[in-house]
Amino acid sequence: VKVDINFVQNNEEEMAVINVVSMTDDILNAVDILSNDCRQLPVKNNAGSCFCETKNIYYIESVDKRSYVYTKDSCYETKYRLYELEKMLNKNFLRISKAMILNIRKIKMVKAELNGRMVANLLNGESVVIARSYVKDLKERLGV
Amino acid sequence: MNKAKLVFFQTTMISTAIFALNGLSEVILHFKNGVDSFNYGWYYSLSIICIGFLCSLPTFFLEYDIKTSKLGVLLRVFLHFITIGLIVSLGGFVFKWYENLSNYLMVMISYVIIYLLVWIISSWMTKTNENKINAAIKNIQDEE
Repeated sequence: VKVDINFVQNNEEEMAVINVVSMTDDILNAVDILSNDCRQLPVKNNAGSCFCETKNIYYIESVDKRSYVYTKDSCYETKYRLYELEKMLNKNFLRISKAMILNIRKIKMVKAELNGRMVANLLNGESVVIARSYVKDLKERLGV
Repeated sequence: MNKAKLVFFQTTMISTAIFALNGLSEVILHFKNGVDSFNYGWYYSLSIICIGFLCSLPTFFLEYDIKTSKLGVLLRVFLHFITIGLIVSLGGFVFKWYENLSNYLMVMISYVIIYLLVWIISSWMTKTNENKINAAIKNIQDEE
């Protein structure tokens, strides 16, 4: 990708414009770095503490005031609350109910329910419910 | 949307629909039979809002779980349909909405048609949304 840097005055907003044919992993990583998004999350499980790559997270669920991070085949606990994680994580993460944040890149497909909710089938075979009031946010995030 | 909001929204929608249907039948009666004025009891307008409120309550039959089977969902929709029909029938008799049996039957036929139309339109809109979201998801989906 050709890189073109323009210097701006102190009072002007710093901004990066990326022209792409399609979103690749490299481009998404570049966007993450430029947006100052959290790329790793400190987590712990029975084996001890570690860092979990945010790109590997499927969803984060709050149960009894504790936040659990789910990856393809593991579950960790994090000290952060959902409202904190919402601010820390990048635009791929979306609140889909009061107790859950979902990585929308891990959705295989969605299925609409008669009551206005949607069920998201994830790439790891799990299903999670997108509450009626958050369906609009999902559509906005996806630009539909 | 919390439960109180949902009930308020549904009450407004159903009451407006009944007022509109009543207005439409008055227009038809005016142009068909030349009726220029209609006599209603003092409670008539409030009775429509009251029935609208009662009809909003069966909406909670449609709050099913992710594990509910297709048959379970269909049974809930059927129960919803029957309950609203009963509320309109009984409420109509209590508030003296029907002048005779044919009047009652006309209201019931209208109810069935409106109920079916609402489901057909909302199902179509839901399916359209679902397709748009799934198409957008394909563009950003991770490969596992």
